[in-house]
Amino acid sequence: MRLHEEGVRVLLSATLVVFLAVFAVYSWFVDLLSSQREFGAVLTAELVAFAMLVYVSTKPDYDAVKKSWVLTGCIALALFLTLAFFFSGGQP
Amino acid sequence: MSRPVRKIAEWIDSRVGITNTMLRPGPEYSLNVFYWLGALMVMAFLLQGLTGLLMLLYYTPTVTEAYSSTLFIIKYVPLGNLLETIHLYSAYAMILLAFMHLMRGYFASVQKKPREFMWVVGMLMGLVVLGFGLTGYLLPWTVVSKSATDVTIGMISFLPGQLGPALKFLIAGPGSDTSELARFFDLHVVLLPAVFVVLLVFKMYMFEIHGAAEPATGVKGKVRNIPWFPNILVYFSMLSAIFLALLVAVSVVFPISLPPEFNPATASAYTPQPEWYFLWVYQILKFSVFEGPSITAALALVSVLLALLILLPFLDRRRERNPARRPIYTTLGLIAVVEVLVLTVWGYLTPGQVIPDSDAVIVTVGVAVVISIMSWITYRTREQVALGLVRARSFAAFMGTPFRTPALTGAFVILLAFSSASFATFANLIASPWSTIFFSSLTIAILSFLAMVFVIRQLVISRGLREVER
Repeated sequence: MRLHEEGVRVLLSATLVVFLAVFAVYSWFVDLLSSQREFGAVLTAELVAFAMLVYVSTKPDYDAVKKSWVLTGCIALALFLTLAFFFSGGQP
Repeated sequence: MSRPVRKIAEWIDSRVGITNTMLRPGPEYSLNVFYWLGALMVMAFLLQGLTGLLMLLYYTPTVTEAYSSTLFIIKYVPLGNLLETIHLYSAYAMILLAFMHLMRGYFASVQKKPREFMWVVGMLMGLVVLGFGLTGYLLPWTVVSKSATDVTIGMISFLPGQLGPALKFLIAGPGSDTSELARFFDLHVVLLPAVFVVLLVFKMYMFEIHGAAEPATGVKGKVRNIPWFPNILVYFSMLSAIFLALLVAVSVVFPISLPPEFNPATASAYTPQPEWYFLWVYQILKFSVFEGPSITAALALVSVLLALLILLPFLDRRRERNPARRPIYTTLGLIAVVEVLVLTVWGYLTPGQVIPDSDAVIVTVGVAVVISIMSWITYRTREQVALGLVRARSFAAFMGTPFRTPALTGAFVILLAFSSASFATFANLIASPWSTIFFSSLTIAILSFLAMVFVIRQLVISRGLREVER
């Protein structure tokens, strides 16, 4: 049971690392003059993901991770990615 | 701390020796966001420095080019708009965090022995932060910022004795627009950051000696200390990331737009109004009693209040720190916070409008009376609960008593409507601006509410007394 719960945490951490890497690369290709708001929204999502990664990976065990915080972080990520989508395509 | 993270931390520590630095271990109770408001303010300061340095690559501090170079940054520099917006909002965040840090410190009585000088240095840092706001506001040279700054400089010249002219010369130079902008730029970019860093180093030094203050309500059991690296550093990284995410998110959703360039011909069309953090002082100066030369009295009043706050550790010498046992200081603090909030909103709603003395008295004294009564009811109820005369219910539940039944709620609404209307008519305020009516009605509504709570409380206590007698 413990191993299974630890597996969930590893999976969540790995997903966040992949998320951070993918959107770091994505932000490299965003036009920094015409799509500043899109870049800002992606940067916000990256910061939220980083905070989540630190939170999830530094707790002593998975039981200590508050699921409501993780859920709040996931909702924030979805919100900022939606914002980035709306701001994509040239809104300075 | 999970195993992989601990191993990484040990690997770094064995090579860098980071745990041997001067940073002492922190108590476990300090892993609470309220202990980190000052650190977040420093984070905002660093962000200000970074974004400011990047903008300095393009900004030209001359009267003819200040506006056009700012506009150039916003329109043509990659990420320029985002940088400008983050710079502005991080300045707002810095001021807000400084205020919250001050209030948290006040209510938790962190200024008591041996942290008196930490409090004084912190207050000086707060003044420097306000100086950042004042000097930075002028730099884009917009009609709004220049007009408001001129009003501020005009107010400074009313300071008593030679203080006014000396301070005016220091921050604005001999009087021309060119010297004013140049002085403000130098203060904003060189002098104030240098002073802030010196004060910060001094405060951090004292912090390392005294450590974080214990919670005002005390600590149960033995305090466990945790190492700075990696535990506290990791916690602060997480807080910083959330803070920066909020800042960038607000900047993305509400990007700034530049008002028109300053021009003496068009400036008269604008009503000068300071930034939100100076609105409460601005509102006090608009009271008709302080019109004309009496403005010196208003400035003296604000200066005395500020001096009292700076010297607070030497005035409040009692050892007690728990706000539940410090009714006078806690009530005074609450009054100050609510007065500042009310005056700020009021100042925002009435730009350039002189406030009649009667309205000023109704609102300021009304707020003080409401908070005092509320505080008194709270402290008395706590005493009664401690004596067992009132059942130990939450304060929120107690205050909600008038809304427990539809009949009580109806009676309460009628009472509020009648008292508000009658008071407004009695004071002949109907002809005044709507804001006066709103604030006076609000004051009366809250007073009526408190009176009703008080009556119900007395009934509960008398019933409790009868039960005790039986």
